[in-house]
Amino acid sequence: MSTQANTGIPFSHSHSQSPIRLLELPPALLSLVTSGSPPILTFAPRIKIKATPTPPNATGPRGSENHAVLCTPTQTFSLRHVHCSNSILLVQPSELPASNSVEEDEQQQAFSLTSTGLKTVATASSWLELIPVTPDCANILQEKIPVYHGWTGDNPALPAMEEPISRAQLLDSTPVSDAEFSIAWDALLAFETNDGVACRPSAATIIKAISEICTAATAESFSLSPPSGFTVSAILGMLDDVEIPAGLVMAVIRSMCDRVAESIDDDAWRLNTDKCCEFIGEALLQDSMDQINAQGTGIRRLNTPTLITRSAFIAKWKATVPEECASKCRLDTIKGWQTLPAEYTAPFELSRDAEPVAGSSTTSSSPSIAPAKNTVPAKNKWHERLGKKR
Amino acid sequence: MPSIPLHPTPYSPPPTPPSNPLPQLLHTPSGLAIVEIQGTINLPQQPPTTSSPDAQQRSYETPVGRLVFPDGDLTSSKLVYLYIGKHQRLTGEVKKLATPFGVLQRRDNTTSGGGAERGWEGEELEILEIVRWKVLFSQRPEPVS
Repeated sequence: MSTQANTGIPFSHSHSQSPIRLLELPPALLSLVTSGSPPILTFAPRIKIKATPTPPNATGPRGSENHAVLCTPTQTFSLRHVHCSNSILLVQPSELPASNSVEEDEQQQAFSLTSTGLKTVATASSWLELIPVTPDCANILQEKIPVYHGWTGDNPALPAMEEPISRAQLLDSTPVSDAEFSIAWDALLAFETNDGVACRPSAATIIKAISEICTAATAESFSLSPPSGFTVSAILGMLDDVEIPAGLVMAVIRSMCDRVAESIDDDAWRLNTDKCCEFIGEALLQDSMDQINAQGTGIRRLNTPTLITRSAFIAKWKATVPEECASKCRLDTIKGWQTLPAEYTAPFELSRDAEPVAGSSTTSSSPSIAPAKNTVPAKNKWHERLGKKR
Repeated sequence: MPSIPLHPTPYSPPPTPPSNPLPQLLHTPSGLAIVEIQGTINLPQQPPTTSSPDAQQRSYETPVGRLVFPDGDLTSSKLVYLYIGKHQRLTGEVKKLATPFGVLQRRDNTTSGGGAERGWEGEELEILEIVRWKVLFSQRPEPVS
């Protein structure tokens, strides 16, 4: 339409402006939006916008605003308003009236040849920018999900809650993507009780669950390593008289075994001895830590009575794991926990922080197990001192 | 707070306009395009006329000027002129957006019932269109006769 290109396209402003927002579409989001899979078929929306509480280190007047995140199935983006000093107009083709009314400008009449113009239908002075973030989902969930203390009647299984929340509700209100949520959920062995309440088991509960499963399997000569795998329903069948929640059994099996076959009804699992050993070893260590903290002796003191001996720990470990794994119980397989070399039967302490006690280099080398996760710089110094001592 | 779904396509897609005067490069399924101006267009304050039924049907539009593409295909030149009123002309160019923009609007959920009572809970957003180009005017207006 070269004639139109020369005479110009009538440009007008519409008085009914639509409220719109502009959103930047980085490649990851763009491909998701244009993938063409019809949205009607997906029950849960694939892209969600969730609110997030203000980060604790935000200062100034903006600190009081709520932030929002945009979540795709696998990624989380922080939404940021970018203001622009320019006027961003959204225009759309507009059919011009055939007959010009009296009020219209003279200019309009000059374009009776052209039948289509453009009108502005919206204005934006800002747009939304997406910044990829990797939220600490493990930490968020650890605080949000209540701890489950077991199915025997000593203590209440769950703390009293005003509004027990399900996994779906938790996912909806947590500003992370589905994939990140699932990874953190599985890592905490979180599950839903038979009433649909989301919770995560304490280390003691995990150990209890493991021993129930192993005892039942041994009693009924049930192999956890058959070539074609076993199903969770089979395990649940053996535990019929125990009130352990099915969700917890599932979470424990997932941590000890590998999936060997997927099916609609029930996946098949097989024991992975390395994975199982490490998992149970860490649970036992965490359980010991919890017991220490419960006694109020969390701070490490020099020359305080030992709480567990190394040999006792390994014996307990071997007793807890399934028979096939007993030979693989070695302290160096538990990642994140460090040991100092020492006499095999010498006593040791568990400590939360990796700072070596001042006297440990001069007094009898009391070996200890300390988690390296918490203080990485101190752990490095530890290694140096060890190296010199050797 | 529950999450708000963002639908990648609109519930009722706007109809494709029968003719789009813009160059092919700027065409989108709904006909939407972006024009960016360094400044604002001053519009006369005029109340919409509701006297005739015809005027009620049409949304009231104020003529602003005209948009001219010297090269209709935008192959040799991406130059654009925007004439504002009788006396001003802006010079600009067609530029590709570094990151495409999604035009978001609130989804109208009248079919699912509830209407206004649901308030915040029923909020859903949808992407009306994806725009990859814009017409950018970043120069001062020149006087024209």
